[in-house]
Amino acid sequence: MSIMSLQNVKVCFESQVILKSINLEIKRGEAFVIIGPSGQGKTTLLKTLSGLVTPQNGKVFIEQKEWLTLSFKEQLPVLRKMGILFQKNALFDSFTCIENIAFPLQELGTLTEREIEKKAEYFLDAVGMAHARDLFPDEISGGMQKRLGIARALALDPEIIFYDDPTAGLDPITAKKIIDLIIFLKNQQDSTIVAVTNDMNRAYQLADRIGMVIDGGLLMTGTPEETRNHPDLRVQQFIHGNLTGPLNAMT
Amino acid sequence: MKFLAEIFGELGGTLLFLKTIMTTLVNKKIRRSDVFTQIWSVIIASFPTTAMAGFFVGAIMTVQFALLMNEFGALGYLGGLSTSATVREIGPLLIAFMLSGKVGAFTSAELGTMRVTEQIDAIRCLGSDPLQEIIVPRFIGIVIASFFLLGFGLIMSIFGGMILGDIFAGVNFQEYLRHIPTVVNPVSILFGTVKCGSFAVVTATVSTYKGFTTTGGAKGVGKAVVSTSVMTMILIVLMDWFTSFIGDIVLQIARGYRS
Repeated sequence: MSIMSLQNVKVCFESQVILKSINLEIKRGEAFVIIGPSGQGKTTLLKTLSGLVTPQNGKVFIEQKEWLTLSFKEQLPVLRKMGILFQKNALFDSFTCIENIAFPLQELGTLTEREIEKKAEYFLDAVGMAHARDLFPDEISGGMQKRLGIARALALDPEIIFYDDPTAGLDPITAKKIIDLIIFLKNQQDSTIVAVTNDMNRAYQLADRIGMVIDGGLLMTGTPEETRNHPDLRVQQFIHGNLTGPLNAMT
Repeated sequence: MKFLAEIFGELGGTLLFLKTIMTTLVNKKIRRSDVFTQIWSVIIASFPTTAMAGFFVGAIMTVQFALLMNEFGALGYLGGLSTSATVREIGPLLIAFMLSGKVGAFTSAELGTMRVTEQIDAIRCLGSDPLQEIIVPRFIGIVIASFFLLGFGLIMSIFGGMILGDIFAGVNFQEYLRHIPTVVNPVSILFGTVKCGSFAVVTATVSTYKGFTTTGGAKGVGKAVVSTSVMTMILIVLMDWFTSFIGDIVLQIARGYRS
């Protein structure tokens, strides 16, 4: 059963076409990883799936509801089932680490101050950042900011979590730790994951299904095994990181 | 033609944004603590500059009027006239320029940075309305704080006028203050207050709109700040003319000169 789907979605920014005629279904509980060269529309695809980007054409369904026809009030219960880790983390820089996690909990309006603090501390501890409780985002490292972003995304116990390049700019060890953390949290919460990454090792590690975006279109979707053995030369060039091939002309 | 279309596009966008702010203000619950924080931060940010500018505007007005009134032998009215001019025109205009230069630019830069670093998207994704959370409190904060700053700026301008009146024209403090109530009537105060409020609405709307709709990274934030300053200055001057024009008509009708 699909939790999100796109039907003939076209997204343009001013005169530039970013996504053209995308059809995609994400099943409940699966981990779908979007791969593809830089500047081809991966983040836009993720943001369209999460309802953050409004397409010029086509339909977006989230939890069987046609997203673009809903008012913000009607979207709110669904939004609260989602968590997003942004590419640049989008942490609130005037809030401390604990306040960043507490923010969505406060907005719920159903928890007491004590409950909010306890829950925020739990998530901070879950990502191994209990010691950074009262520090501001610009006082912690890039890896810690990623972990804080993950903790904030998880604060509302979301059913759908979007990760926009969760390992960007991190060293291999920290990147592996972050992916392990995402997999651990997925198994614990049985949530649906949509992630963007350029790192094929992490993609294979995380994905139930992989989709490759090239030139604003979805070139293929398939299991990690199907992706490895895909006959398209562009897929093969990308996953093996070859310097020569058909992608060079595009990127 | 394209230039005109852009100007009308900007004006239309700003007015629609004001409508959205008003709808949010009426329909959604705004946290009082957020509003008080904004009022306080605007007052703190603009307090020293408003005090200094208010003092010197009062002083300048007094010197200018003293030169003229000395010729007519009417120095006794110096305090009343310079205060009246400050209350009706210079005071609100000065506060508005202060607010647009300091608070307006700061607000659009702050919101613009939040936009380009995806913090505004994050607020929405975390199940909150960015308008309710960050825009409306700032809007109310700027508007309410402007009245406090106007009052304070006017007090400082009277103080500046008193000192310069004494030094420059030999009008002592008692004499300076004596004719203020006769010249500065409630209509002048009402005019000043309405102007101050309308200028503050212009500054608050433009700065939040420009910040909220920023695109394109650091360069985009810079553009938003410049555009906020230019647009608020132009709109404040236009609004000054408009409020004076409307005020004059209302006054004529009230006095029975016009039906």
